[in-house]
Amino acid sequence: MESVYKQQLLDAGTNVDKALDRFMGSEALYDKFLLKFIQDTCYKQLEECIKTGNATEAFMQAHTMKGIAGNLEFESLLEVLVPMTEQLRRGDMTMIKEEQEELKLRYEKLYAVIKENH
Amino acid sequence: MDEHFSQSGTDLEYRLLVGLMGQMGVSVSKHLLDEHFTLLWANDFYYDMIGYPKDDYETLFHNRPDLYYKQYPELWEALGQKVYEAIENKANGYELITKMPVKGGMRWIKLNATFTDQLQNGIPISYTVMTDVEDIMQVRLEQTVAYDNLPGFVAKYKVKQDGRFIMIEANDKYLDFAGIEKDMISAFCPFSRLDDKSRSVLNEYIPLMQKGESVHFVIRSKDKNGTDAWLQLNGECIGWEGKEPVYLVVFIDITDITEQRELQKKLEEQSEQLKEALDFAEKANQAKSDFLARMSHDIRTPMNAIVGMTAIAGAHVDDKERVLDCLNKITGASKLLLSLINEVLDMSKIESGRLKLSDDELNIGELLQDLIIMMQPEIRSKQHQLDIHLMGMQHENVIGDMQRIKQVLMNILSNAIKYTPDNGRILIRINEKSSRDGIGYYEFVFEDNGRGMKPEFLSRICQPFERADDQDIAGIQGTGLGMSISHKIVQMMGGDILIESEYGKGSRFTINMPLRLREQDVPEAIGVPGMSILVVDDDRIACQGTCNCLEEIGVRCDWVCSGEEAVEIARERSEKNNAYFAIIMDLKMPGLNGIETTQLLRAAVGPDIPIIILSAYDVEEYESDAKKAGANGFITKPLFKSKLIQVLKRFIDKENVRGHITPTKLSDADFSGKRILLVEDNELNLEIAVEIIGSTGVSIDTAVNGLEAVNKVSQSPEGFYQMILMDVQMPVMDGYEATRRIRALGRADVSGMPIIAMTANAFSEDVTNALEAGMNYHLAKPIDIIALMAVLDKYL
Repeated sequence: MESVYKQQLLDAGTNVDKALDRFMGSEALYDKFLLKFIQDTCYKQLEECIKTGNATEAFMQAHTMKGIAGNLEFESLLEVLVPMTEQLRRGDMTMIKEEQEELKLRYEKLYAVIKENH
Repeated sequence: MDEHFSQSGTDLEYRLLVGLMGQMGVSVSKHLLDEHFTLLWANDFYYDMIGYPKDDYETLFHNRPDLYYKQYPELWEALGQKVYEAIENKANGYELITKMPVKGGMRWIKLNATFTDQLQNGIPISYTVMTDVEDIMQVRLEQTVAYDNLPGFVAKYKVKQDGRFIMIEANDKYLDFAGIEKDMISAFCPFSRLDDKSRSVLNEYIPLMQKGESVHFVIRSKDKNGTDAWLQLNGECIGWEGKEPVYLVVFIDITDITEQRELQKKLEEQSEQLKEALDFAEKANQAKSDFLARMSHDIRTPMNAIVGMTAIAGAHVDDKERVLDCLNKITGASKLLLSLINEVLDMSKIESGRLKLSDDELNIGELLQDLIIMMQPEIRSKQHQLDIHLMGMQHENVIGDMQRIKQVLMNILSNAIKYTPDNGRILIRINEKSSRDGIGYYEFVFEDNGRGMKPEFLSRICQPFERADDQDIAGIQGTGLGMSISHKIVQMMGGDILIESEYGKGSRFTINMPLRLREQDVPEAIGVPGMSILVVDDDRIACQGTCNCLEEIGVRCDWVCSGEEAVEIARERSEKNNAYFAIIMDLKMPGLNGIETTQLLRAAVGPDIPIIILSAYDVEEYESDAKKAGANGFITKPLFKSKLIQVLKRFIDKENVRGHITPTKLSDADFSGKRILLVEDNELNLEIAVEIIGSTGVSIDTAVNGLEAVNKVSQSPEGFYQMILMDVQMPVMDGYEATRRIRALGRADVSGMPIIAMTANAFSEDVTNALEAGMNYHLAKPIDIIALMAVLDKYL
């Protein structure tokens, strides 16, 4: 992993060091999962559920994505996903739209960084 | 009378005669017997008859009949033939009835000629008298060939002595059939359009016809359009011309009948085929009914046992022993029932084509290890010796239906174990025969020295519900569906099963299976120069297999076949300061076994050299003894390359601690030989977890929701899993419910099994919930390595 890449990830709100700790110092392993992350459909599915207004489904998707973001130390995403998940758990969709837009921005930034480096 | 005639005394007489004849309607002419048959003189009637006035005749034909007949060479030919025949036979003349061309058509003429010995310019002279017999002929024709009302064709033929047929006459129908004109009759070649068979039939009858006998037979001929027609030929001899008979032949077109007959034949054939198909369908239906009957019986028996036992237990609630006994029997019957139902469902799926093979990513080595572990309890109870040989495995990572492949292999291995009397020997050989175009061709051989099978049974073995008719095995449990299903599944994969067996001696099942190759992990050459490993196994082939594996990853290797030799050689090396890097040792050996050898080795070479016990047998039994003796780890056979690398790496890395960036203790840990169940609903998270936790060497089974977790545990043999890591928030069934159910399974291992909750929530109430459900501990998500390590260490 080049230092440029690491810096980009940092700028996009990732705690790279903590993540590498989890992956036993293996940058290759971490990067493998970064790539898998952008190939995963969880974000798209979350978007869909929010669009259709299905709170229960949206909760499951948000919860799942939160888990992944946690493992990969995407702090910028977690900032939005944590409150989002709790609201959806209660069935509260009032703030969802704004949160979704914020999430989209941050997700796309991360996506671009990872894509660029593959 | 013409003045041009030369006058002589006799002329007058002729003139009178001629005049008389002329009045009678008779033509008289005088000809030279030259090649032209030159007309010298003719009476008026001659010219009337032919329709050309005398001047015209002279101008057009120069008094030469051969010119006159120019367009009718056949008629001229016939005429000339007649003349020369007559001369040859020194006759005075000849008679001929022939069709003569006249202006505007043809007429039937009767010719009577007389030769004289008068000469003109040296050429003889002949006189010809001609009478018009057209009318007479017509009548006769009408009489003889007025058959247009008849349903057939009629023709008159002369049968020549050489077997040829000359057609004399034919009716319109015939002409139409043959596509010829009336005037072509004499030139027509009859029977020229017969097919070969008919030709030979005709030839057979020709001799009879030459004798004038009546004939009846059938021929096939083509008509003018080339269409085939079947004709019934009926011939009668109606006269003779010299030695040659004249036949009147009536042809009846029986094509329709013949076609009908052919059609009928086809219908009969079809009817026969339908009958056969019906028979077959009936038999299949019968087979299905038999199947249902058998199945119902096989289901009812254990079901009855369950009902009965439940009732008894209910009636003796306070009799603990009795109740336990009933429960045991219920468990046994339930398991049998479940397996039967599964098998029948499988059969049904296969038969209706609904069985879909999935494309799982799997590792053959791991799959086999799982298989062996699952069958270990059975092997142990029958005290069998188990040998496993792994050959030529270049590609471990393939794509296939993991569940079904396991099902097939387990079925065959289970049969080998079941049908081999105690203390038997079972050999499993796995071979990668070749690979090309992204497909690997694998061979799994299961050989036993058990009862074997008789040839009659062998031929039926893959049919449903077939079990051998043998007193000895009547007591062995089995549904008779296993082989049938396995066989079909393997066929679906594009492989096959070869079965060899000798009654009383043993059997060999060879399964050939092509599997799509995956991206292979490149086997790193992890060998460090100077590093060598000792392999100890009484099975030579197994030794060689392991050594080949080692050499392929760049590690030098020695092997011995006994514990004693191992101690000897290891001691030597250590004394020479060239100690082995590690020792891989088989557990069960005659003479010194693996554990005893380990003890001696420790005494001989000290505590540093890693000793890894490799065994086909149950780890559980020997684990504590082995650890006490000084062994470092356990690997289940078969030992495959990726596993070997994984294990060795751990020991190599241990040596190179300084190479690590961060002190991750995970790689220090060695949980090889342990197995945990990891339950997590998200695929990506699951992969990450497997990757991280797997680096400790522990084997990981996965489930994607609580229900699957419960199923996996209940279907596993006792003690299969040593720990469960369970996500809490999952679809279908959450972690709490799953834990409750698992704890409630009537098994020995689940009561004490560590079940660890994994959850993103760290609220105290969640911790309480977890404990209440029966979970031992609680790990926060995302995975924290240190916490994980602690948990693994504590519980494994």
